[in-house]
Amino acid sequence: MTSEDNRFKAGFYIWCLICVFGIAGFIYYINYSDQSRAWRAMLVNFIFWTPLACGMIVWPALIKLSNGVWSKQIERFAFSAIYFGPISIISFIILWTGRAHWTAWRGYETIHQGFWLNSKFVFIRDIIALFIIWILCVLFFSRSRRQASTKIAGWLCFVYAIVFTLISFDMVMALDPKWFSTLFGGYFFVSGMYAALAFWTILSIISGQASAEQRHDLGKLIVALSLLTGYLMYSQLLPIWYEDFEEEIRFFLPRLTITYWRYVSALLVLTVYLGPLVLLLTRSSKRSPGYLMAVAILVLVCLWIERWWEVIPTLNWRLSFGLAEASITAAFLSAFMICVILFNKRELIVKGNNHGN
Amino acid sequence: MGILFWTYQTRMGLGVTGLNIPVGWSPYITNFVFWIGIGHAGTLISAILFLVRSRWRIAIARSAEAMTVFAVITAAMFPLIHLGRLWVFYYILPYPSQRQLWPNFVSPLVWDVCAVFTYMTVSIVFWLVGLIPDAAAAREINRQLHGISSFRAWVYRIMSIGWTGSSRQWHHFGRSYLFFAALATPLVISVHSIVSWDFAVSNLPGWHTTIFAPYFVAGAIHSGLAMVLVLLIPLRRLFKLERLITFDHFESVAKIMIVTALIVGYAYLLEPFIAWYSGGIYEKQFAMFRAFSWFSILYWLMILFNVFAPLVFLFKAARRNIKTLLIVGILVNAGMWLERFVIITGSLAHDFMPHNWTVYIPRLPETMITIGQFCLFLFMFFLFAKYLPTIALSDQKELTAGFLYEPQSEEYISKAQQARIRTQDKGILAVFQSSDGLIQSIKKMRENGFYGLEAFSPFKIEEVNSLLQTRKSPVRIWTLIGAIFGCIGGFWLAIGSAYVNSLHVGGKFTPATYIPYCIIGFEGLILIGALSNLAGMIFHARLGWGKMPAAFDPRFTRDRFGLFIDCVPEQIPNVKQLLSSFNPEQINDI
Repeated sequence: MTSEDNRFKAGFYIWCLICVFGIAGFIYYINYSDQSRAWRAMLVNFIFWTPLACGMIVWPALIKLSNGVWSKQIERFAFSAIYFGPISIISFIILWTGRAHWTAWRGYETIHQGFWLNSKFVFIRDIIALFIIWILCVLFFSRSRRQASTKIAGWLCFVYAIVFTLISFDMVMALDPKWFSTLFGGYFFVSGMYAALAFWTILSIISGQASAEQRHDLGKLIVALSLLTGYLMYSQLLPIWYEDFEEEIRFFLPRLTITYWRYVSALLVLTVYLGPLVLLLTRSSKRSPGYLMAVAILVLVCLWIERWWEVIPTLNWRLSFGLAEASITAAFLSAFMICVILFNKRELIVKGNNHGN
Repeated sequence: MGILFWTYQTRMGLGVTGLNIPVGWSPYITNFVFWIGIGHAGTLISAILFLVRSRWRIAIARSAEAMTVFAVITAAMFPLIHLGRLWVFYYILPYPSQRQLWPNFVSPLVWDVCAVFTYMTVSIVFWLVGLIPDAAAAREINRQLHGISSFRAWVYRIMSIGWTGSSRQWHHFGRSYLFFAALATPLVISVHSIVSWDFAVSNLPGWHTTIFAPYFVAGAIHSGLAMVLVLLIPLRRLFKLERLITFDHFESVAKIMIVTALIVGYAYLLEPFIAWYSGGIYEKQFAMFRAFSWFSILYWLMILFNVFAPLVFLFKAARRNIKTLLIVGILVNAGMWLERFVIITGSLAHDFMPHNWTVYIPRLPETMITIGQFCLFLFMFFLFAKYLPTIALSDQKELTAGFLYEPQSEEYISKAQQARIRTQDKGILAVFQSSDGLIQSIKKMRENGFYGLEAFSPFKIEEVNSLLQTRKSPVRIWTLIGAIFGCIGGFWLAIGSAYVNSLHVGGKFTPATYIPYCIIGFEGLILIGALSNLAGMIFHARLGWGKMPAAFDPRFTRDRFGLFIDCVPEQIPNVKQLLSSFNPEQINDI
C-alpha cells in the first residue's frame, strides 16, 4: 500500500467521522431541540452546496466554450464535485420533508402567486430541475474526455443559469412571498459560480497540481467574480434603496438596520465583494499557493455566511449561530470532501490502468 | 439635414417635435442610450478580450475602439439636443456649490454626466494610447514621402509623442495598456448600468426593476457587436482586408452574440414573470400593454430581432456566411434601438393613470436628427478608416515575431539614416532583420559584460523586455495612487456638496449616504486612475516631442530591430566581432 493510498484512507475516515457527527447533530436537533433552526440550517447548506457543486462542473464547460486551455491539468479537481449529485438530490428531498419549518407561504390563503407557490408544484419543478442539471453535469463529464462536448458545455451553462434562477426564486425569494427582485436569480447563480471557483482553487492548491500560471489565472478569476457578484448585489440594492417601496426594501431593511446583521453585511462587503480585489491585487499574491488558498478559504467561508444572511433574517431576525448550524454544515462539508476523495481515488486508478495498458 | 433640423428645433423649441407630456423622453434619449450601448463592444473587444488574452481581437480591436469613441461622441450630443435650449447645459454640469446652485449627487442624471464624461475621456485616451506605435510608423513614412515639415508628418508626430520603439518604452507602454484595459473593463459595465438607473431608480412601471443594470450592459454589448459586423464587413471589402479580418473573427463575434442574445432573452423572460409574481397591478397592466396592445408589434419585433435572429449563429454555416452575418447585424441593431424605444416611450405613454395614457408619434425634426446622427457616426468612422490605421499594426506585427523581413533598398536605408536626429549617445548600433537576431545578440552582449544596452523594435517583444527591463514598471504605482485619490475625491465631492447644501433628497435621512455616492467615488477612481496611468507612462517612457535619441532609426517603427551598445572606442572592434555572428543587416558607429 502506497503512502498516497494511506493518505486517501486517512482523509476518508476522518471526513466520514465528521459526517456521522454532523448527521447525528442534525437528527438530535430535529427530534429533541430547536427543529426550525435545524431545518433552516439545512436550507442554508442546500442552497450553498448545490450551486457550488454544479458550478464546479460548469467551470470547465465555460472555459471550454471560451476556447481556454489553461486549466486542463486541474480540471479533474473541478469534476470531483460530480459525486455530490445524489447527495444534493437526497438532501433536497429530506429538506422538503421539513418544509413546515421554512416555507413561510404554507397556509397563506391569500397569497397572490397562487398555483406558483403550491407546495407540490414547487417540489415537482425543483426536483425535475435538479435532475436535469445533474444529468447534464454527468453527460458533460463523461464526454469531456472525448473532446466532443462543446454542445453539452453550452447547454450546461445555459441550464445552470435557468435552474439556479428557479431554485433561488423558490427557496430564497419565496421565503418572503411579498418580496421580489428580478435580478435575484442572476445574483444567486453567479455567486454559486464564485463559490465553486473558490473551492476549485482550494482543491487545486491542496493537490499541489496547480502551476504558478494556473494559480495566477484562478486568482484573477476570483477577483473578477468578486467584482461581478458585488456589482450584481449593488445593482439590486441601489434601485430598491432609492425608491424605498415597502414590498422591496423589506429584504434589505433588517440586513442594513438591525445592528448585528449590519455587521454581517459589512463583513460581506469587505470579504466577498471587495476583499479579493485588495487581497489579490499584486501578481505575487495570486501566485503564492498558501496565500491564494487562504484568500479562497476566506471567500468560501464568507460566501456560506452570505447564504445564511440571505435566508435567516427573512425567517427570524435573531442572529443565531450555534451547534445546529455547525453540525449540519460539517455534515455537508464532509460529505462533499468524501465525494472529492472517492472521485480522485477513482481517477488515479483509471489513470494508472490507462498507463498500464 | 440633421444639423438644419437641429438648428430649427433650437430656434423654435421642443414644441416642433412630437414630444409632449407625458412622453417627454423619447427618440433623443432612445438614441442616447442606443449609441452609448454601441460603444460598449469596442471596449469589450479592446479591453476585456485583451485581459483574457484572446488573440483574435487584434485584427478588429482598433476599428472597434474607434467605433466606441465615435459612438460615445454621438451619444453625448443627445442630452444637448434633448435640452432644446442648448445653453442650459451649463447648469447640469456637476460642479460643487457655486452661484447658489447645487448639484444633486443623488440624481441619476448627474451620475450620467460623470459616467459619460469619464467613459468618453478614458475611451479616447485608451484609443490614442493604442495608436502611438502605429502613429510613429506613419510619422516616419510620411516624413520620407512628404518631407519632415509636411502637415501629415506633423499630425503623426503629435500623435506619436516621440515614440521610438525602445524596450524602455515598450515596457512602460505594455504595463500602462494593461492598466487601461483593467480600468476600462469595470468602467464600461458601470456606464451602461448608470444609464439604466436613469430609469430603474424611478417608480414608473416597466422602468423600476433591479435587473436593468446587467440587462442594459448585455444589450449594449449585443448591439455593439452587431455594429462591429455592420461596419467591418463593408470595410473589409473596401480596403481589401480579407487576409487580416477573416471569417474566424466574424465567427468569434457571432459566438459572443449568442451569449448576449441569451442574456437579453433571460431578462425579457423575467420582466413579465416578476411583474406577475409581484402582484402589483401597475406592473401587470403594463406588461399586458407591451405584449398585447397596439404597441405589441414593436415589443415582439424587438424579441424577434434581439433573441431569435442571433440564434441562427448556433449553426456554423450561418456564422461563416457574410450575408447572414450582415443581415443579423442590421436586425440586432434595429432590435436594440427598438428595445430602447419600447422601454422609454412605452412606460411614459402608459403609466399609472388611464387618463394619462397617450400615443407618441415622431415628427420630422426628431426623425431627421436621428437619421442625421447615424450619418454623422458613419462619416466619422469612414474618416478614421481613411486617415488612420484600421488594424493595430504593432499588434499584428507581433504575430510575425521571429520572421525574417525582406531586405531594404540602398536608397531606403540612406534616407532612413538621414532622418536620424543626433543627440549625445556614443556607441554601436546594430540593425537586424528579425527579432531572433536581436534577442540572441542581447544575450551575447550580456554574457560578455555589456550592460549599457537599448533595444528598438516595431512591436513588443516580451523576451527583450525581460532581458533588459528587470525592474517592474512604476506606472502601476502611479495608477494605484491616482485611483485611490480619485475614489476619495469622488466621495469627498458628493458628500461635501450634500453637507454644504444640507441636501435631503427622496426622504433619505442623512445627506452623507454612501449607497448612491459609490457611483461618484467609482467614476473618480477610474478617471483619475486612468489619467495618472497616462501621466506615469509618459514620464517613465520619456515620451515627448523633444529630440530623438541618436540610436533611433526610423526603420525601427516599421520592420527592423535595433540594438544600441554603449561602449568606449577601444571596445568597438570586440563588439563588432561579437555582433557579426548574428548576421546584422548593418553595424554603425554612433
